Amino acid sequence: MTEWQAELERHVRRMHNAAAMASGVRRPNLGQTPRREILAIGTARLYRYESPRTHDTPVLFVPNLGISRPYIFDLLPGASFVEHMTQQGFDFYLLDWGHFGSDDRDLTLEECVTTILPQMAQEVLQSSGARELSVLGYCMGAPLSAAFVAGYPEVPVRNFVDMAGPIDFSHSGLFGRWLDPKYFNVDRVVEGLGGSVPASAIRAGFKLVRPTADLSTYVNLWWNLWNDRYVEGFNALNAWANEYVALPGAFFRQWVRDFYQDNKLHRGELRYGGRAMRLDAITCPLLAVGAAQDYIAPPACVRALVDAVGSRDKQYMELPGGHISLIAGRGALQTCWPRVSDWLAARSATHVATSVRRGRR
Amino acid sequence: MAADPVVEYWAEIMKRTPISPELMAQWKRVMDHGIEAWSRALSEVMATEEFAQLLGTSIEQWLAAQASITGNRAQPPAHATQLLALAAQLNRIEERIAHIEERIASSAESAAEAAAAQTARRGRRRRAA
Repeated sequence: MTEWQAELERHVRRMHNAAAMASGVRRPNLGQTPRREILAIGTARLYRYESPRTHDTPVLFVPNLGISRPYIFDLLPGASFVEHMTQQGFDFYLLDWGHFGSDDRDLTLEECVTTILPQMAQEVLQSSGARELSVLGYCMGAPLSAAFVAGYPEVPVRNFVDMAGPIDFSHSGLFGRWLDPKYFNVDRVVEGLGGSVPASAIRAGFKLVRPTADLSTYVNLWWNLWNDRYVEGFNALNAWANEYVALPGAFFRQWVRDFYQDNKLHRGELRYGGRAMRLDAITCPLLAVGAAQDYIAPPACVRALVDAVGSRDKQYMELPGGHISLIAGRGALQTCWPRVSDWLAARSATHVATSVRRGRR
Repeated sequence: MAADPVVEYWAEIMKRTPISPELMAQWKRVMDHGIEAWSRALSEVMATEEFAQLLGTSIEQWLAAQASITGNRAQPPAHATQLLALAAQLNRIEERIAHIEERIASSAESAAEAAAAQTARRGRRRRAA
């Protein structure tokens, strides 16, 4: 086949797929890995996914609160972090913080760390029957869960993984600059927005931090429009990328003030529920994963966790890509997920079938 | 992809032109480089203190404008409430005036009847005398 023939055939496919998209995209079937809800606290839900459970140490996955929906972690078969982890034999639990309305405006970050996370961790241990658990935080979920792990040493955390989670906010890029207290009065903003930060405001913030992203997305879409698999992935990711979630006002105040403006977690000054949350109190094995082109949690911001903890077994891993490509998309299956699952597998108790255990006795 | 006779025909035509299919790839590369350059330039501008200050000022102005609109939007309902209260008060005043007028009228009638009765009594006394 000549080059022109191949190019023209691709062009015909582009036209065909463009027409199909223009006539209305059917919302892709997202989040297909089977799961069961096992605990609800307010808007928060704990889900347990089906898995062969070859590792005895369950994994509690803590994503960001608000901002976006967590089905990004279970996007499509073959492009799902949850699916990968369950296929690797992990007893996998996802904490979905939920959708927030005006009734939730008083939910604080402190409550999330001191009330919700401990109860969720306890439920994971109880439902799995395990003595220890691994905690995996992504994006905002990483500093939240780091504060929890540091402040609750009585909770038996065997391993801690930070994926693209900002820790040292003195290196937090554009958001850190824009949220400087000299220019950003968080109390006035929250009051002016009616007590909550609406999804539209969050969308505006993320669009501003990368103003050319949409143009780049559509140029790439046009270029790959002949590829049905690409189009399927695009439709799934695009559905997620345009669905933002509001933030409770009280939570946003603490997030901006304690983390972005005062950098309390990294400085060792964070106290919630009467407990000091010092990162050097974390002594379990630690893996921090940063993305080289991450403009939301730049590498230096993530890497700081490795120097701050008291762990002996600790590692920082920097991978190509951005904030989202670390956790979603078919590329992540090649670059990031196997590294995370291999690291955890080497440090997780191996499940021995009950019948084998009885035979050994 | 299965061979399409129409596409094959067009491919044969295009092969005879000086245009290369590489042109599409070149277009894509130009677009990618252009977007990347713009992205870098914008990121540099947005990382400055001046931009952060401008953004902060813009947010404050927007919040002030929102507060003004929200305040103005609240005024018509407040005015309507005030009007209704005034109307109710007027009704009460009118009722009181009407009541007072009735009492005055009633008092005047009583006074007139009393005066008429007195006049009649005087007349009977004169005739008796």
